[in-house]
Amino acid sequence: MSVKKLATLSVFTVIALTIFVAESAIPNPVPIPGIKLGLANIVTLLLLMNFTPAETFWVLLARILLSSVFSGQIVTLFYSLCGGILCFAAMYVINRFLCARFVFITSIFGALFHNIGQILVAYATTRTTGIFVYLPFLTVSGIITGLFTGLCAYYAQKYLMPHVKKL
Amino acid sequence: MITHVTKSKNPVFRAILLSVFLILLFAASLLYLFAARSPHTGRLTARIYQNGTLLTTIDLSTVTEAYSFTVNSPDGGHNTIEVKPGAVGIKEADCPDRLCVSMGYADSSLLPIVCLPHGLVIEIEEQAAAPDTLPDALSY
Repeated sequence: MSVKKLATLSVFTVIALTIFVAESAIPNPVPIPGIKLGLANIVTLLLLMNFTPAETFWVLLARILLSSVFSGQIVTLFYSLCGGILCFAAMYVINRFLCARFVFITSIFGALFHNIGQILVAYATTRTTGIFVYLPFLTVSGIITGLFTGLCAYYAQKYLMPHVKKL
Repeated sequence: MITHVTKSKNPVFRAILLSVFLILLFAASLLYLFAARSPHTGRLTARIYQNGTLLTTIDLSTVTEAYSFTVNSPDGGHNTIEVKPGAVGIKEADCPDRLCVSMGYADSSLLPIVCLPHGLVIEIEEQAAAPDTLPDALSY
């Protein structure tokens, strides 16, 4: 890996972390655990479109580990780790079938699988099947927030990435 | 810098197919949420679980006066649960986000109250009311 690529990926990790910290300052309008905008996924989507899957995965992993340090809760690490890995797997598969125009579809699938991953961890910790009642709520919210972050990634790809590539 | 270009034979068709699937999924979830909003008629029983073990069962129909008690979690946290006639909720907690407190009081089996940092779940079960409202022989 060249120094330039390493620096670029580090900058993307920092962007993702900044977005994560900014997002955690937004109060949750819906009191249902697991519902969040997931704006940091914009960076993952951009990387998936412009870099190799392996590079995307390492940036994602670094972001998840560091964000659990920043939020100061080790419990949330398992939730975001399981959600993040499932989300990445889903987005990688879907992205292979679609062109960059339809990144919002990739994003929605990512959000849905992120929620599924988190609910699986929630089931593993609470051992209560009642937790799966949250799935329809999280599906509705995942489609809405996934669409939003997907559109953000689409416009970032269109207007921001040409400048990044010039560097 | 582009190293990973995805090529597909008919990307527009695939996108439409996936979109239709997502729209159906969205509609199905919304429909389920509205259908699950059933009027609460029968007896309500609250079950309080901590990390999968049943702590207590409270028959909410017998509660006449609000009371509260505190559940301590093994890792040092606590949740104060308040029981009202026909409803139960978490009044106070020391978890990081206090999402369990802002979830308010549950009075139906629609959504259990959870405090994921403490592994606490409050489920409400609705029994199908008194025996005289049970389906009779003709219904079978």
